Amino acid sequence: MSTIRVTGLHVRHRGTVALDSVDLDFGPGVHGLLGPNGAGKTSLIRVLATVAAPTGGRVELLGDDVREHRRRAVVRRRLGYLPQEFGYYPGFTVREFVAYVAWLKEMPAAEVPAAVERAVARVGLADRVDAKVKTLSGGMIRRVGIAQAIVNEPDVLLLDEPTAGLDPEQRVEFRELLRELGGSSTVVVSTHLVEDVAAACTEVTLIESGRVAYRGTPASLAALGESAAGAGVGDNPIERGYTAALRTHRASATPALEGTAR
Amino acid sequence: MTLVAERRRETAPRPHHPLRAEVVRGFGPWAGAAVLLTVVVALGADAGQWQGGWAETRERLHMVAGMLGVPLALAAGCWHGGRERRRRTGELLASAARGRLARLLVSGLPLVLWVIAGYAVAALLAWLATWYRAMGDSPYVIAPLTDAAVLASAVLAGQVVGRLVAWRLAAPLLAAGAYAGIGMLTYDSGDNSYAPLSPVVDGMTDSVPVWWQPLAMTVWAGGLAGAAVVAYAARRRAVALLPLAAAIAAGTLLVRTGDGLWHTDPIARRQVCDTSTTPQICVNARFERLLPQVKDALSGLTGRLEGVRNLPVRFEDRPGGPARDEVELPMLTPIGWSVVRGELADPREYAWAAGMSLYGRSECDDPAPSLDAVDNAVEHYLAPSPLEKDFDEQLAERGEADRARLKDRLDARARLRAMSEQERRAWLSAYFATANECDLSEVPTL
Repeated sequence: MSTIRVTGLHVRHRGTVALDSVDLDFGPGVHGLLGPNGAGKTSLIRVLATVAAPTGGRVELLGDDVREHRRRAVVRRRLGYLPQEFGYYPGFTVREFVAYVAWLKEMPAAEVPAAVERAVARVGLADRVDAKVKTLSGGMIRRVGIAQAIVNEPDVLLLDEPTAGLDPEQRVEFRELLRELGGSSTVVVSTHLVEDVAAACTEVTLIESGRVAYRGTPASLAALGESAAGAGVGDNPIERGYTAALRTHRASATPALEGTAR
Repeated sequence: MTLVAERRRETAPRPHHPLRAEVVRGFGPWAGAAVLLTVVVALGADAGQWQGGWAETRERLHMVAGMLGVPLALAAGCWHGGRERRRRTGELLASAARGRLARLLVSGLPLVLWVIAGYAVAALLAWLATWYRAMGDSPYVIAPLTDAAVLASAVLAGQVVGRLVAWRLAAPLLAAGAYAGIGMLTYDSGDNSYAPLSPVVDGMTDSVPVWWQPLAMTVWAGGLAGAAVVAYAARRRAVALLPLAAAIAAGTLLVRTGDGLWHTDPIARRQVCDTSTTPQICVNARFERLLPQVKDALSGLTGRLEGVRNLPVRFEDRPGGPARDEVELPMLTPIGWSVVRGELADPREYAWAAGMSLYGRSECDDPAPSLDAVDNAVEHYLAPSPLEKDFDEQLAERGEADRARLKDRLDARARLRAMSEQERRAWLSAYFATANECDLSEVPTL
């Protein structure tokens, strides 16, 4: 069952085409969005987060068309979003900031304190819950960003470069959190790090120049890397699969290369 | 990082509205402190000119709030309005289920609260300072409340500007522009029919506004700010026309009414009198508690006038001129001259000024020179000027004519002093019967 359905999505950003006729659907699980810089990953995440409006096409989130104001508000209550450039109020404590976002998501006031503690604990900041955000390290601030995204236990969680700033141990733990969240929610993770995708994602979507270049599972992408000897470069099968898929897409006349395995 | 969902705590902490975090964190307390400091310093710089007078305190607070507080509130709101841009939280907020209006109000209202708190503390300090030296009357509550409403409106309007204008200099330039604009609106020497729209304009200290002026000023300022907020943040922007229409209606009413917005304060029309003296002494009811000091200051004068006839019935202190049998009490206002912080600054000089009002020949075109010696002798006897000795010395050092004039004066003083009590009372009675005569022949010789 798809919780996100995108049809003929067209997005222009600063005068250039960011996404062009993209058809996608995502269901529960962890979906990795891969692609080079400027491919359109962030544009797609922003549209799904209802922050940016598409110039064409249709976006359905949780069964609702988000063009209509009231439906959009309903959907937003069930969304979690970590922007690539995560902004925060440095003078707030972690608890206050995450509670603030819970208020923004129109969570019932009585549920907020427990939800905040739960979200903060899930990202491993329980001992810093009353520390001001400005006193935290970059990695911790990124975790605050993840906590605010999951405070409402969202049905759709959109994470744009969530592991930026996390150390290797934190990334490993974060992948485990992703797997846990993907058990009940639709998690879309935009990342440059193919090892994150390999370790935590159930599906992978490769975007290149505003189009879908590849869709499949991490395993199928790795298999592509194994099979396309010479076509892909990289230190491991999934990296080789990534570069092979990109090169095949670039060489192909057709806009999208569908994975063989879903 | 703990990856397993924590069990709910047995007792979850009490939920706090995000307003609480906005109130206690960030820029609000600084803005409140800045308003407090600005108002207190501006008031403190000339405390002698308002302390002790409730109307003067009201007027000075109102002026400082309008000229300095409003630009500061606009700048504070503008700076705070740019917070989302500086903190880069716009992306996150744009995905929020809460509408833009709710977000703006939760961000802006705590700042409003702090700015008003800063002004309220400054106003309380000013009131405390005046209460300590109060000469009568009572605090004027409506004016500071109106000022607070105007300040709140300025914060919200500034908030909208800050959200719209992505420029770090926007806040100081907005403040400077507001200062200049309010100054021109208030003090423009040309056709100033729009002055009632200024948050600074006030009546005289013996005036109060008509009952609806504070309401109209609040609607005027609040309507403009409300229109800006709604036009920026509400989904149905056309709703902004409602507060805008209210603001225009209130502004039109203020401009059309003009000078009719103020009338004499009922308390300023009254006076309180001590009838035990000759003449009786009355002070304006606004300075009721100053009566004993005035009576003390004039006690030498009134003591020497005991039993003397043809005097005015009383010293009066009401708006407008004195009645036929009254003379005007030397001015107590503006505060800061003869009265400072609830005290007569120079009782001797005040008594001299009171005496002068009894025997002035100011309307005579060219009083006879010999009248000078007579008037001077009376002045010397009743309440001499504190500078009398200096004047005498100056006359002594000048030419022959001035030395002769001084000699005449000294002789006249000696003759008046040499009279018996009864004789002097009779002579003074005759003198005061002609106190305003310009013709020497009418004035009794000395």
